[in-house]
Order: sequence, then structure tokens, then C-alpha cells
Amino acid sequence: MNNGLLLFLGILAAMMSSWFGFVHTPQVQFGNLLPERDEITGATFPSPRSGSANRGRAIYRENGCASCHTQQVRQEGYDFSVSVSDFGTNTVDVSSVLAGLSESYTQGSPLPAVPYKLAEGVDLREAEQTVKKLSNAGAAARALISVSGSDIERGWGIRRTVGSDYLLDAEVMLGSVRIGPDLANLGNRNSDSNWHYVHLFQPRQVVEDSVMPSYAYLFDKRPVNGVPDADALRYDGELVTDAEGRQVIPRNTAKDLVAYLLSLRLDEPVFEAPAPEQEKKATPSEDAETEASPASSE
Amino acid sequence: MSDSSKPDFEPTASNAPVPVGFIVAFVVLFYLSTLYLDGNAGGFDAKVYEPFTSLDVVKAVQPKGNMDPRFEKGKAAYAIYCSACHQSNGAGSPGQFPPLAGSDWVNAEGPNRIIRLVMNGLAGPIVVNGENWAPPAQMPPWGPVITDDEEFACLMTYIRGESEWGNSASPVTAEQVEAVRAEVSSRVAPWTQEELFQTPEQ
Repeated sequence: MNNGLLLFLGILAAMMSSWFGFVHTPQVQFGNLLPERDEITGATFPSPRSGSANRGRAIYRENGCASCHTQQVRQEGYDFSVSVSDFGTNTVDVSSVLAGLSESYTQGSPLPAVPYKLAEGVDLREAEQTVKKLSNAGAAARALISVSGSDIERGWGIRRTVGSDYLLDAEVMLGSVRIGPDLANLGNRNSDSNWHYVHLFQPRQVVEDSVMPSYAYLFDKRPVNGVPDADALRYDGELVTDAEGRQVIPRNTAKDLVAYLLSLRLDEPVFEAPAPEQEKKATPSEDAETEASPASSE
Repeated sequence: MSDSSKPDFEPTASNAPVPVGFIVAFVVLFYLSTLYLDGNAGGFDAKVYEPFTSLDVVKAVQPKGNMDPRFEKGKAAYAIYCSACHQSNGAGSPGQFPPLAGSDWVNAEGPNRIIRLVMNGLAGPIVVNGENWAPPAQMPPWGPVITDDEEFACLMTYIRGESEWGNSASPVTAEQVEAVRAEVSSRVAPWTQEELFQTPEQ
């Protein structure tokens, strides 16, 4: 060991360079991200979770949901199209410009109905040139982005996930294995809380070839005395029962977990990952949560 | 050959030089990897993700609104102050809040009456598009709330020009709002329909 110092320095340098690359650089890169406030709507992004959903996040973690479910959506590419919202009054000019741009339109024929989409799947530059040609002729047009990727085609989100999506999560449960589907957009894909309760209790009842284990211990099982409880699980109008014919009532843990699952939404474009504007669905609030409890599922 | 049976034996490494080929390969690899990072790491910016390659690209692909900024400002003000009663689609609420979409008051030739109406509020019955409205509550005065004339004017421009509601009246300038504000500055009471009729439309 006459080169002990050299050996030590070599190992140190190797360790430091990986620490620098895997710990320090990401910290410098993402450590200063802050939630953003939209000046126009007053909403913050990411939007804070309700208390129940925050408790549900702990249940999600305890039960190891992240071992089989990811919360990250990939995006493979993006392209542009041009949408015309108004052809204006200069029909002669617009008609000739449109004939040069669109194969399906011949000059002189009546202008198509708005909003009219053309030049789909082009790059930004081409889309902007098309917009310019149209607006020079007096039409109102703009370039629209569209994103692609197998995750996005499955409806797992309208865009890729970015760092600021996870800003409010103390521990980020990205997951790495997709034994079950990605959950980043679950609240948007299926906002029926009753479905989620039944699925957690008996996955095979709602998804025939599901491989998810049953989380029956998140539910109370009680014998039916006459009339079943108001909040006993029902599916397709029929009472859900366990093997002994007892009614099934979600515990607070199950309610919190479902509140968390419904709070997972990936339906907002962000600066980092622009996406087409979506028609906003109502966010399930605490009140809506109560209304949509299993009791009202009949 | 070393004899390891000797108890005080200590193996030593000689100072054999590192092969030149190894150093060259390392330098080439290092160069290639920096090239790769240059092209794909997006400048290590927190706002740049695949498939984008730099912050400039992300900025360039942001969706561009086709609204002018005054209209957008007015729309934001509408969302804050007006949409609670008149709804975000301007349809109002039957029996309570008259519509703004397609309303003859909003789409009047000039903004004279609508500025006054919003500035001081309105009490009592009102005829909108020939329909009698008797709102149960009076409309509150917004002049003291929206003290910035430009914001007020943007709001007026928005409600008069929102094409999604079918409105297409002329825009309103901050000067017009300023003039009306100066004129009605001493007024506290809300307007009534009859009083507004005495004000010229333009």
C-alpha cells in the first residue's frame, strides 16, 4: 500500500463526481422551484390538496401503492396545427390563401365552418407562417400545440409531468414499475368515488383481470340487521358484501385514500409543458366528496 | 516473484505510466459527453424538459392568445367582480341578475349609460331586451372598488366586446371612464332606470 493516498483520492473523486451529478446538480436545478400564482385567475399551481387528501397520501405511502403504480407521465413529441377562428370579411383573399394552404379546399368554394383546423402535424415555424398568411388576408388564426406519446394517448394526462407538479408533496411517490396503470391523472379519468371504494375492496368485481390485491382492511364489515347502512358499499345498485355476507363500510382511511386518489389530476397545461387547453371538469371539493359518498350511488 | 510466506513482506506497486490510448479515449469520451449535455440538457434549466431542448424553445411554443391585452385584463376583472352574479358566460340568472350577453344596455351605441350603471350600481326594475326585470337585490356600486380608470375601461371593453356572448360594441377608453367618474363623484345613491334614460347613450 505505498499508493494509499492516491487510492483514497481516486475513490473520493469518483464518489464526489457522482454526488455532484446526482445530488448537487438536481438540487441547484430544482431546489428553488416555488408554487406559482396565476395573476388572471388567482389560482395557484399546483393547487393545494384538501386535508383529507393529504392524510390519504400517507395511506397511499403506507400501503406501498407506489410499488406498482407510477405517477409520472412521459411525452414523446409535440407538433402544431393552425386553427382559424374567424375568416373575416375579405372572402376573396382568404379563399385564395386557403386554397394554397389546404388540399381539400378549392378556391372560390364557400369557406368552411369555423373553428377550422388545417396544417396539422407541422412544426412551429411552418404553423406561424401559415398563421401570418391567413392574418394578412384578414382572418383570425393561431397556432395550436398538440402533444404525443403513448402515455398521453392512453389518457394518463394531457402533458408530461414536470418537477413543479410535485412541489406540495413532502415525499414524492413517482414509482418505477407499472404493474398497475399510472395514477398521475386518476382523479380526472375516473372521478366516481364509489367505483374506487369497490375497487379497493374487491378489485376483481370492477376490473375482471385486475392483479391488484384487495385492501379489505380499509373497510369495516358489519352484519346487516334489517336495512343496510346508508354508507354501505353498493355496486350497480346491489349491496357489496364480503364472504360472510356482511355489509362493507369504508373506514376513514379508505375515505382519505380515495380523496387523495381523486386529487391526482394532470389536466392543466404548464409553462414547462404546454398542452392544448382543456375543457375544465369540476374539481371534486370536500363537499362534492361527501355528496358522492357510496350512500348516494343508488 | 514475491515470497508471501515472509511475515514482513509488503507488496508495492510500481509507477507504471497510464497507457496513452486510455487517456485519449477518456478525453474523447469526456468531449462527447459534454457535447451531449450541451445539446440535450436544456442548460440545466428547471423549466426545460424533454422533448424541448432549451428555454427559448419552451418560450416559443407557448400558446399565444388571440386577445388583445386590454380585453384580457377586462376578462380577468370580470372574473373577479362580475361573474359571481352575471355568470362567466354573461347569461345572468333568471329572476335575479339580468344577462349581459346580447343585452341592449351593454351593447348600446356609446358606453355612457353602462359606465354610470356599473360605477354607482342600480336599484329598482330594469327592462333588458324588452323583458321586465325586477332584481330582488340592488346592484352594488363598483366605482369605489375598481378605482383604476384603465381597469374599469378594460372591464367595459370586455363586456361590450366579448364575441362569445355575441357582443360586439365599441371599446371604452380610460378617458371616458375618467370623465364619468368626475361627473358622478358626488353621487352615492344607485341609479334607477329612469335616471339613466335621461343620460344620452353616447
